[in-house]
Amino acid sequence: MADDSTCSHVSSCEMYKLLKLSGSLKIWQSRYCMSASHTECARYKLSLTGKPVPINLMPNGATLNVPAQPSGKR
Amino acid sequence: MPEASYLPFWLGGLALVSVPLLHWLVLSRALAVSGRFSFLVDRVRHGAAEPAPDEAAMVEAIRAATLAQFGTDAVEAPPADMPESTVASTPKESAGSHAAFLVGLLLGGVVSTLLRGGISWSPSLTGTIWTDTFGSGAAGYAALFGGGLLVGFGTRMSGGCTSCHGLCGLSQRQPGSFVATCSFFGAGIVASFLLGAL
Repeated sequence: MADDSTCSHVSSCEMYKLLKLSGSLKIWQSRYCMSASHTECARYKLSLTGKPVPINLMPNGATLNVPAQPSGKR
Repeated sequence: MPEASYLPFWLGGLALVSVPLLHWLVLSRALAVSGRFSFLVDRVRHGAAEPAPDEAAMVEAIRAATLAQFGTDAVEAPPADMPESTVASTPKESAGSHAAFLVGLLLGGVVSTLLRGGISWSPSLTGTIWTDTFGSGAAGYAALFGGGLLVGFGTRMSGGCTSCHGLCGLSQRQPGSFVATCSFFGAGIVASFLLGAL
């Protein structure tokens, strides 16, 4: 079972999947996804408003400048 | 109106348990009826999501953001004591699969009703407690509509409907679902006593 402080959105969060791909990125998980501080996550807070969460929105509120993949390559 | 005949309570209980359990065993994801509905509503309101960026480019961008936020040391020495999540990431389902699920839900209800004698249209409000409290006219319908809106608001606010938290969330021992279930059952019990006292 997931820890009580684990974010309830980890199973559906697009960013969480990416943060699992490299050990060097896991600090985001420890600071946000797997901690009580997940309520401070910008993605979590935006999802609670009912608005779609952009994939390039980081937990700290920063936005990654990454070009979208051409259609057909998803 | 003839008294409705219901299936045994234990049969309904078994069905309520077996459907989300079977869904979890087959698809490794929670049933999420209201979640599917919310997805489709969001799709209508906001349109389809933008094409996803390239995964490798995303990882590189996140790495740069990690350096900027936490510094070199944090990136080179990832936390070793981080608890492992047992919640698996599951692939996204398409809007079509969500729509098919909801249509299947409606069709299941129609088939069940047809098997038990057919569908009859009864526009009047017949619940005794309801009509005694709100009447069977416009006020009764307005209260029904308002109640439906409140259910929808609560479902969206708490991230799931009654069956989602009560069946799926509690079976996964989610603390939030425990709180939600206590809240809506508690509120339901209090409301029924209040209505009975009016």
